[in-house]
Amino acid sequence: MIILKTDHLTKRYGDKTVVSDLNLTVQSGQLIAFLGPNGAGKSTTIKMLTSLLPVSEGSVEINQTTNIQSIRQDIGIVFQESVLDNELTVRENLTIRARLYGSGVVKNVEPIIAKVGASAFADQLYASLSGGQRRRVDIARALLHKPKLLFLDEPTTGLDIQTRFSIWSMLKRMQREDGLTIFLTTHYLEEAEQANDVYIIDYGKLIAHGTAHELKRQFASGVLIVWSENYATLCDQMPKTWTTQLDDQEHVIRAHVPIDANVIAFLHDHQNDFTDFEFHKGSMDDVFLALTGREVR
Amino acid sequence: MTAIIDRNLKLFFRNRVGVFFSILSSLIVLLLYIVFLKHNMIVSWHQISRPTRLLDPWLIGGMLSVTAVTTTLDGVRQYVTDQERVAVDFEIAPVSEFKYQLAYGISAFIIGVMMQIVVFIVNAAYFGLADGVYFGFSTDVKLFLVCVENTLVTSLISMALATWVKSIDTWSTMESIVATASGFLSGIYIPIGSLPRFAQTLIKFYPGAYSASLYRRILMNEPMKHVFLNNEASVQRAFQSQLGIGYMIHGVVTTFGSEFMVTMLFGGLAVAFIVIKIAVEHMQERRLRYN
Repeated sequence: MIILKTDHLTKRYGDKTVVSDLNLTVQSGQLIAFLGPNGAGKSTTIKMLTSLLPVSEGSVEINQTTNIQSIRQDIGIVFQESVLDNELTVRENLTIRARLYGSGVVKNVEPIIAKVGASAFADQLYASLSGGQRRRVDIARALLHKPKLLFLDEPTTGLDIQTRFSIWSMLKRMQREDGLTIFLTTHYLEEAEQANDVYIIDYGKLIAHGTAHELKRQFASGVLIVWSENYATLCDQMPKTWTTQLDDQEHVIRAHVPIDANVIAFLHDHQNDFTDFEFHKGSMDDVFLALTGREVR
Repeated sequence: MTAIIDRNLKLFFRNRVGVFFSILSSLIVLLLYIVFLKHNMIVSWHQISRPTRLLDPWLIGGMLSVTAVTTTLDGVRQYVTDQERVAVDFEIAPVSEFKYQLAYGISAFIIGVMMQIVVFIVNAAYFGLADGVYFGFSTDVKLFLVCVENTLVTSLISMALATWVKSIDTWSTMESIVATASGFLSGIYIPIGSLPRFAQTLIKFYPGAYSASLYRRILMNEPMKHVFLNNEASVQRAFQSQLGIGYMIHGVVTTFGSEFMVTMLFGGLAVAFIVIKIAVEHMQERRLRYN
């Protein structure tokens, strides 16, 4: 079932087009990574998808409706900057937000505190929490009314690696166990590898879309480095699809190989011709740089 | 909506330093009166026996009027703060813009009434002990009713101002200007009768001046009856116009009823302002969203 669909979504500020002609289709229960360099239009898109920013052209349909009130019932948002009150405890924050959705939602507070692993600090002031604890509570806030679709704007930015892993495993568990659809933006590209579908935008336009594997196959190459006495001969024996560079001083071949190249077979066939080798598989970083260039925005 | 009210009150009263300073700005007036103003005023009203039984309640009246203004501004402060970060979280919840703003207005109202009660209790206790000035139960009830009406008006005006102010810095500046000016405009530091003509005219445009007059009428009703029992009506009128109990507008002196209506009118203007602002924003948003 399609849970989110945009049709030629566009946002203009005066003459400047920030998001242009964006068509997204998200199946229910998927985890979607939405990538782009700084200023590419990610946050603007998220704001339009979540009904917080009026669109200039096109439309957003969530759970088969364009009605803003129904959309808001179906979505939860974790904002880049926290929106909870520092001077209230975790439980107070969540209870007050739950009451906004009606008394029926208040009973969800305790199970959600347990679900995000916040029971131990539920009575602490929000201000006293660590970055990772806050993120858990922010996610709990977004899930209070049991939305079908959860948006997260850079949920792991600024967190240490352990916390990032634990937030991710929590999100993956919710996707698996509750069938929650998750739509997130991130700057950590290795996180995008875990997504079912990846969208990359730049200058407000969609420039690539597919699974991490598909994108890597299309846009990233592996790097094979081989140390060999007969490096020039060995280099000639490499398939023509590999782009090679020779280092005459160190007797090294550096080859960019397509993602589906059979590197193992090559190394096996020439195992007596080299002294050492290194191989790096193409990563989402390579895909991203290949698509968006290297200049700093 | 009750959730937002509950939250705002928790945030306000949990900030003990903030509450302390909010009350302090009113109680400073009491201190100024005791230290600087009281003596002069007693001297200038020496022809009245025991002038403190009139002057003490007169001061409380003005002080309550100022408290209603400053504490509701303080209460609405949360609304301005929230616009910078938290408002978006309420926007995605199914709460209408009208109820959302109403919640902040009601929070400010509750804060305003509670703070006035505290200020009144402190004053009544002090003047009771120092000057033997007491207030009867019926005075307290009437005072409470006027307090409710006036705080409703000041909350509405504060909300109308808040929908227009974009940053908390601007709000803080405005609050300190209003807090300073309101003491003069309600005529507590210098009685209106001692002010130049222009200042007197200026005061008549300030809604707090009318609420000050209302509070004073209630608090001074009993002692005025006793003090001016054997005097001509003109003596009492002169006293009242000197101290800002009733104002001369186009040759007519305002009464309790007309002052009440003036404050209601200011409240009505604030409501109209808020409603028009919400309606205009709503229309603009519709045009943007569905064009």
